[in-house]
Amino acid sequence: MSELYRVTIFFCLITPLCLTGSGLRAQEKPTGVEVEMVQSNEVKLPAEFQVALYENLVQQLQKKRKFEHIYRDGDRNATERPDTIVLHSTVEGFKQGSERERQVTTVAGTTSIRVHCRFSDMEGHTLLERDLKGKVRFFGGNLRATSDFAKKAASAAQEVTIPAKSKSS
Amino acid sequence: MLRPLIGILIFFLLVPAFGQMKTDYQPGTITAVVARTNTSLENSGANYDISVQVGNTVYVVPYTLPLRAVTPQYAAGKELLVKVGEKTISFNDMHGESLEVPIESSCPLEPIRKSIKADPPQAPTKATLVIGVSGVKGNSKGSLTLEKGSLHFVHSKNSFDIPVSLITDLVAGSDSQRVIRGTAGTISMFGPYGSGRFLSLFRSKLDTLTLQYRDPDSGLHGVIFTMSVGRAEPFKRQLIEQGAHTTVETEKSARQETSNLPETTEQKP
Repeated sequence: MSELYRVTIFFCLITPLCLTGSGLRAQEKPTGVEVEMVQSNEVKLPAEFQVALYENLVQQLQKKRKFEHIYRDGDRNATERPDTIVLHSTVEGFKQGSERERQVTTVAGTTSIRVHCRFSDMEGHTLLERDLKGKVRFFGGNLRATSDFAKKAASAAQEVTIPAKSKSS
Repeated sequence: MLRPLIGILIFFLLVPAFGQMKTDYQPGTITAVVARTNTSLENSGANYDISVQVGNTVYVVPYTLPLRAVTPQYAAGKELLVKVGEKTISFNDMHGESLEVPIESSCPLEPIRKSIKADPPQAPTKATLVIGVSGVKGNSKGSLTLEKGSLHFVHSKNSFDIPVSLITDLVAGSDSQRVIRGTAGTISMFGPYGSGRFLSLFRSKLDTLTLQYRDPDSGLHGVIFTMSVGRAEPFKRQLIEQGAHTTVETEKSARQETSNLPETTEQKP
């Protein structure tokens, strides 16, 4: 009786461990990321903000050193690696403040950008979606808001995992 | 017996060659995408003028963007297969559907190349690189020149070139900055009796030049320069004359776009 009890306990402990192990194996970290140009179809965004958002994203992802390869929009080499994710960013809100107002009043003149980030695999399947904000409240020019956003987006990129199915197909 | 066999063999060898001769599609490169400013409200999608280089000829074709489709603004530099007819150009879109668009105009590529050779080197313009070049720190001061068909930026130790023909978008704008800035500017913020705040009222205007270009791997890069007032627009014009592309057609339309931008209200879809 005691033998049967031991065996049952053993299987009860082992089975969840096996299942967790297979679950862990099913998700893998991507080795590369392709950063697409920031889109602003519905919000009028000055060209310098658009470019600053894009370039800061690339810079911050390079700084994090979580990805072996960081590809720019349209890079031919990005398609060679299946374990590459694609970052699509769309600006959904933009409030251009004023550096002068910020420095004179401290409370007014905030510049903020709200961007919807979507991480997908190379086939276009969504892996992670986030709404991120970039702000500059006190010191610095308006473009500093883009750097703030890029830091948050680069942190979000570290959370992305590719399901095994998506990687193999 | 051997002769007919050799004849059949030669026939089958020649068939693929004839098949290739019949292929009308040829590689083309999108060199510029310009948004049309006179889009009527009745029109459901946005309109663009797309320049496609096929061989030594650049064709300009109109393209109406379907609703919810990805904007072709950043398609410049991308390659696609096109079939050039007498008055139309055919190509396959992202979904593989064949589209036929009329040719608005076409011009040979030679005059642009000749003008590049003929242009003398320009006088250097003092500029600050805000962001966009790996290996060069942000806000690096240097000089910007336009020579031999490429944009040349020299910083104290580093320098880099961007071939003008690779520039896919070019926008000149305006901005302002504190007269007392940098470390001194930050320290001055803590001045007594609000003197720092008073000093921050003094600001100088400056021009911005934002450009996008594609590297040999077709990767998109963006660079932002700032320069003294009134320098960016002539510089932009020189770049366009030498073969750079822009999505903002003229100075007037650029101003119009800037004036349409909200100053302090948040835009929501």
